[in-house]
Amino acid sequence: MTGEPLLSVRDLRTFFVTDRGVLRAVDGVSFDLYAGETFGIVGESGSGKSVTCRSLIGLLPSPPAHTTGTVRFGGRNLVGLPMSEMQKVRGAQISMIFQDPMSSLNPVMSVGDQIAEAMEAHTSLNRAERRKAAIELMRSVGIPLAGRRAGAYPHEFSGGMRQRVLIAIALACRPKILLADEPTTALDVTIQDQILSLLLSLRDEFGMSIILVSHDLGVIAETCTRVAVMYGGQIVEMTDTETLLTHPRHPYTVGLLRSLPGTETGSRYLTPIPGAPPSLIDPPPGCRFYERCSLRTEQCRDWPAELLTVGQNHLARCLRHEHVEEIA
Amino acid sequence: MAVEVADPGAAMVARIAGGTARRRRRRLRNWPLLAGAILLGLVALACLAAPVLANHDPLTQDLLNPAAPPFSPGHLLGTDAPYGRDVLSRLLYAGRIDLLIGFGGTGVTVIVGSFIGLLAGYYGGRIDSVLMRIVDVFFAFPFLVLVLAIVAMLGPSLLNIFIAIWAVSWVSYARIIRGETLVAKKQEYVLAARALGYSDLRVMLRHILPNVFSAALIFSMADAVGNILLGSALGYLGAGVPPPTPEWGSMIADGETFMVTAWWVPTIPGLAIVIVGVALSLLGDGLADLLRPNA
Repeated sequence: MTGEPLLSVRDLRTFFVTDRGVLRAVDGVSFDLYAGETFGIVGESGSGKSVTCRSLIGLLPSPPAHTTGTVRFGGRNLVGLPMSEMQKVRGAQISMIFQDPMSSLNPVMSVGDQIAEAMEAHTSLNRAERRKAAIELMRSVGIPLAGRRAGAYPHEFSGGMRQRVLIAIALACRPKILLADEPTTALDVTIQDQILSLLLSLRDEFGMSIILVSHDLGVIAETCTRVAVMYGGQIVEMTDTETLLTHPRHPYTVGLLRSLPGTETGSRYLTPIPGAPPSLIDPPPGCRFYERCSLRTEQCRDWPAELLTVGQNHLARCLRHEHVEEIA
Repeated sequence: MAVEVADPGAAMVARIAGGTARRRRRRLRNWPLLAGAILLGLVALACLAAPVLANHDPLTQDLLNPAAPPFSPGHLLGTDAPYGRDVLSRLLYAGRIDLLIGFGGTGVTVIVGSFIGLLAGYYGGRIDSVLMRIVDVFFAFPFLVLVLAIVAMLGPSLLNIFIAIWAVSWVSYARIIRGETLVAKKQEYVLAARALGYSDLRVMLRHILPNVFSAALIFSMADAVGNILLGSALGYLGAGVPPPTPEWGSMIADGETFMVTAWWVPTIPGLAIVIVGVALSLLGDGLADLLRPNA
């Protein structure tokens, strides 16, 4: 990837104050997003991928959340931006869709109105124009009989159709970036596939970039140009999708790949990663994957655990990245 | 051998098709809403048209003809005792004041109280603590005593009754809406609305309020009846609309003595209150259905 990134994240940290101490949910995340690409963030529950996504547009309530670092977008830093300024960015330039299409729509407002409302908040279109544009959007996201369905309420739609409505709402103001937080997790596999290909075709049609958050490496592999693997609030490996799948350089990525069902691996059984992720309240110094790693050495424990350049556009947070091939 | 191809579903379709059409008609009608609106509309219309419908002045006494029974010539609902005033005329004029107390009192408190509850529930923290402590203070006093104290302090008049109701009964709405808002603001659609860059006011008024308002609205229908009864109670205690202005509560209080000899004098205004009460509760039910399309 070359040229100026659209969004540039540096040392993003989001900590939560809890009764048991300070939880380091996102701990120094840096990445760039370029125009027109789909960037994937993959990791297990609690790895900080959703919190990363929400921190980008300041969606987490503070307190208990505290965010530092820089999120450079359109010449300014979104972290610490006043609420009124942030509200002009959200929905208009950076939109977000959520995991559960069943509960992310207002149950007492017709879907057409909900799509039109996004335009009411961010554009100067009049009522008739908004309605027309809403129906047009419903058509672009593949809702049949859009004109007639615009007056229907969310409970009259299936899960897949609701996710399409949510996408239409998110795209109503033609944002430059779409944050998709597990957009297909609540849907069954056939619908999942439809929604993913819809997202990709809309990305090209609207000329936007997508950050796709998922726990499912399969979904990421299908859609993303570049991927960051998160573990324990940090990015542990980041490269293009092809390289990640074929030449992983972090033992955790290898573990993720081996726990993925596939026909080409030849293995009849999935291999789980033993153990559980570390507590993010007072996390251990050194490598956070240490406890579960099959390649660990004594050095790993008190190593500053930084991202190392292990290839062209390939970063991995592993001291023994040269040996990862041996277990892959 | 001929195989008989029967579609077991066909019979079922035929059997339930009529039923669905019937059900659809019934759902469209929303009869409680319709019945309540019609009943309340008739009462309100009759009261508004009192100068036309009433064939007597509500204050004119006819001391030679007291306690005339209903259907007496010239007095459809009879006359009261011991003054001989026309009951129908008094009933209609009284309705104007009672409905005014019911709606004027409730309308303002439901709006103000809901907004305060919305603010407290949505922002939480210090704003919530301060507002809810004020609510607690009001709840600590018996409602009627507080209203009575305010009216006694300001002097009995219609405006002062309003002021007393406005000052005291917003707290119920604030508490109802706050509780519902606490639940609603955790919903994903509120997060989604915030992710779309909507202002706090828009999130509260367009996304939270419509989802929580039905609880306040249903309560307001009961509250409106309560306020009408409150107006009557104040009248009974001499702190209400000053006599001889007719008012349903004071009509009941005045007629109470003659229950045995002229039952219609206290009974008819009582029935009027019952009819308005039923109309309002039907309306509350109907509105609740209307506002929750998926319920």
